[in-house]
Amino acid sequence: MNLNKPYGKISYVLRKARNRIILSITLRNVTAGLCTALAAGIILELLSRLIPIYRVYVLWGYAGAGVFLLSLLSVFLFLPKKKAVARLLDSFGLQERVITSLELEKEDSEYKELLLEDTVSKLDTVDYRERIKLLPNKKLLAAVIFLTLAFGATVLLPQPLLEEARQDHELNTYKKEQKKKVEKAEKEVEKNTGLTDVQKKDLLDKLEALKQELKKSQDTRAADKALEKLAKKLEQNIDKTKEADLKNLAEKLAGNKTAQALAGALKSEKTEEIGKEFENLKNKLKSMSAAEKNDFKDTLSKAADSLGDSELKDSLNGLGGALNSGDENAVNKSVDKLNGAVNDSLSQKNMNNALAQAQNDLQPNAVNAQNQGQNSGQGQGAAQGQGQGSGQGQGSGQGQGAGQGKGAGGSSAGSGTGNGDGGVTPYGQGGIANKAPSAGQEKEYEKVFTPSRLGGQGETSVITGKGNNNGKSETTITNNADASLGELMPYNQVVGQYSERAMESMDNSSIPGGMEDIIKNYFASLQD
Amino acid sequence: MEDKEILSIVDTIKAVENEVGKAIIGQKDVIRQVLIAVFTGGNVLLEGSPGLGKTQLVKTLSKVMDLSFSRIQFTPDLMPADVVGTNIIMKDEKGSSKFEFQKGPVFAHMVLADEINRATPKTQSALLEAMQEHTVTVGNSTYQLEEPFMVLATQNPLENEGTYPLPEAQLDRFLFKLMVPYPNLEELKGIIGVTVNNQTSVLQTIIDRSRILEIREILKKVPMSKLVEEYALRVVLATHADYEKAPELSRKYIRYGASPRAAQAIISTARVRAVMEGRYNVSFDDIKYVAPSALRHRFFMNFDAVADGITPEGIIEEILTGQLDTAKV
Repeated sequence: MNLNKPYGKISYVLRKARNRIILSITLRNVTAGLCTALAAGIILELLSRLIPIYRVYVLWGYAGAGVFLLSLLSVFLFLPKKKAVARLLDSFGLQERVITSLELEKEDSEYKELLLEDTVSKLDTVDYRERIKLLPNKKLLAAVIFLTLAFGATVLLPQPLLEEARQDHELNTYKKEQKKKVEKAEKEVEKNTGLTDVQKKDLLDKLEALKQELKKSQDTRAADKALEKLAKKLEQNIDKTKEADLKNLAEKLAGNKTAQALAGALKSEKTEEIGKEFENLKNKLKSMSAAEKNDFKDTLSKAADSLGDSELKDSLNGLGGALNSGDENAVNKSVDKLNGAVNDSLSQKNMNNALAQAQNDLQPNAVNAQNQGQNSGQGQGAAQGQGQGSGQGQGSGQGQGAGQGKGAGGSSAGSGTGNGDGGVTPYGQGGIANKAPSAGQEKEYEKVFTPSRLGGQGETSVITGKGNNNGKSETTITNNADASLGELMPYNQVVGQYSERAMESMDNSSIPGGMEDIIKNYFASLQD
Repeated sequence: MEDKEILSIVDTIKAVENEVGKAIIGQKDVIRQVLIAVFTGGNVLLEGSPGLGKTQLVKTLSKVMDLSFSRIQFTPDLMPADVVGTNIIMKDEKGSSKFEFQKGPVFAHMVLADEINRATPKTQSALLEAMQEHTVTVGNSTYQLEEPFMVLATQNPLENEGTYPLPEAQLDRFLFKLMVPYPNLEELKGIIGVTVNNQTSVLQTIIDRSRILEIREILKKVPMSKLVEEYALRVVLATHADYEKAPELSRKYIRYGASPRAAQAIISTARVRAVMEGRYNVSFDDIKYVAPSALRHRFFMNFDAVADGITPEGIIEEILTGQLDTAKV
C-alpha cells in the first residue's frame, strides 16, 4: 500500500480504525456477555430454591460459557464493513468525505482529486483513537460489579431442594435407560422375521404401553415394577408345550423309516422343507404296504401319546384314523392338518424366542439396587430364578444381596449380588424376587408367616379310616409334621419364595394349563 | 475542468456573499440561502414583516451579480398583462399600425414580486410559466426569458385580510421559502447606520450572468454519496403520512406530502451549499441545512396541526432527526 496515494492513505486509516472498532466491540460484547452470564446465574440460583434443579452450578457453567462464547462469536459474525467504518469516521466531523471518496474510487468525477486531497487532509486532523475508546462501557462495568455481588449473595442462600433435584435427575436418567431397553426390544421385535404381523403388533403394543408406564413412573421402583410386570406378562405368554412336542415328534418319527425325512425336516425347523416333506409323505402313504402302514400308524400313535399339545395330538391320531379307513382323501386332509399343527408349533416357537429375547432385554438394571444401597447404606436383597432348559439367574448391584438361578430339566445356575432382581431365563420362568425395603422406603407391607414350613417334609402322615355303621371315621394325624407357624414377616420379603415353590409344584404336578396361568397371574399380581 | 476552476468558484461565491453582506445588515442566513437559490437556478419566496430589507436584498444581489432587476408590487387590481407585458398597437415608419409586444417587468434577470399574495390568483398564475419554464406566452407568441432568471416573491404574514393565498401548484415552483427574521439589536444598529445615518457603501460587481450560468453547471456535478442521497429522499418521503417510516407528527398532522420537486430542490441546493462550505462532497449537514427551506411550503398540514400549534418547522426537524441513521461503534 502506497500511503502517498490518497486511496492508500484512506485505506490505511480505515483498516486501523476497523481493528480498533473490532477490539472495542469485543470488549463491549464480552462485558455484556459477562453481565448476561451473571444474570443467568442469579436466575438459576433463585430458581433452584423454588424448583429442583440438578447441579445448578454446572448448568450455570454451561450457560455462562455459552453466553460468553456467543458474545465472542457475535463479534466475528458482525465484523464492521469498510463502508460502515467510513461512515463512523465521517461522523467524527469528516462530513461524509470518506464514504463519498470510497464511492468515487471507481468513478470519474471532476471533483475527485480535490475531494481526495480534502479527505486525506481532514483524516489527519481526526484522532479516531480518542473517539473509538478501548474501555468497557461504564454502565456495563457497573452492572458486572453489581451482578457479581448479587450472584455471591444468592450462593449463600440455603438450598432446600438440592436432594430432591438429585433424586429427580437420577430418576430421569434411569427412565431414559429403561426406555432405551424398551426401544431395543422394539427394534428386535420389528426385525424378527419369524413372527407374524399379529404377533409383532401384540408385542409392540405391550412395549409401547410399557414406555407410557415408564414415563408416568414417579420413582425408580415404579419403573422397575413396570418392567418386571411386562417381563412376567411376556413370560406367561411363552408356551413351551408346543416346542417340546415338536422335538418329541421329530424324535419319534425318526424311528420310522417312512417318516425319517419328515423328522429331519422337523429338526431343521424350516417351514418350507417341512411342507415339502409332508407332500412327499402323502405320496409315500399311497404306495405303502399294509405292514408299513401299520408300522407308521404305530409310530404315530406313540408320538401322539408322548405329546402334550392337543392340536398336534389330535392331528396325529386323525392321520392314524385316516390310514385305517384307507380313504386317500381323508389321509391327505389329515396330513395337511398335521402340517398346519406343526406350523402352528413352529410359529409358537418363534414367538417364544421373541418373548424370551424381549423379556431378557427388559430386565431392570441394578440402578435401583444401587440407589437403595446408597440411601440406606445397608440395603439387602435376594433374588431367585427358576428356569427350564437353560435357566439363568442374574443379579448385580451395590450394597449387599444375593441372587440365585435354578434350572430344572437342564443345568443352569447363576449367582450374583443384587437387590431385588429375580433371574430371568430366556426359556424359563423368572424367579420372583424377595425385596427388602431400604431405609429410605417406609412402605408398610402386610405381614405373613415366615415360609419356614415350605417344603418341610415331616413324616408321611398315616391316615387311617375305620368304617363303622354310624358312618363315622377316625383320623390320625402325624405329630412329625412341622406345625410351627414361625415368625411374622412382611409379605414382600417372602412372596418370592412362595412363588418359587408354587412354580416348582406346578412343574412337578400335572395340572391343567389354564390353572397354571391363573397361579402365575396370582403371584405376578402379588408383586405389583 | 481543472481543480483551479472549482477552487475559484468557491472564492467567487464567498466574494459575492461578502459583498452582499456589506449592504444587507444581518440576515446572513437569508443571504446565503438566496445565493444558494441563485446558483441552483430556482425561485425564492421570502416571508417576513415589512421593512426587513427584502427589496434591498434583491436589489443588492442584482447589482453585485450584474443582473437586470425589476420590481412588481402586487395589488388586487394588478392584471396579468401588467406582469408579463401586452401587445399594443404601434405605428411603424410608414404610418401603418401593427401590434407590437411590450415586455412587462417579468423580463428581467431578477424579478421581485412584492407581496405576491395580494394579487388575484389570475395574476399570480401569470408568473407560473415564467417561474417554471422561463418563458412568457402572450397571444400566440412565446418569449424566452434571458438566463439567469429568477423570481423572488415576498409575502407579508401579518395581514391576511384581502390576500389570496398562493395555490399549491405555484408554491411548489418556489425552490425555497425563506423566513426573514427580525434583526437583533446589533443588526438594527447597523441598519440604522446604513439607512438613516447615510453610511453608504459602494457595491462592486463580482460576477456576471455568464459566469453565474457556468457556475451553475459546475455545481450540478458536486459528488454526493448514495447514503446522503437516500437520506434526502427519505426525508421527502417522510412528509407523506402513509410512508411506513414517517414520524408520528407526519402521520398525525400532514394532509399532503411534498412533491418530487422537493427532492430535486434538496439535492440540487445541497450541492451548492457544500461548495459554499468549502467542501467537495455533499454531507448530511447540507441536507439538514437546505431541507427546511425546500420543504416548509411543499407539504400541507391539516386543521389538527393548526389547532395544536404545530409548525412545519417542527415536523421537518422531527423528520430530519428520525430519518438519519447515525453511525455507531
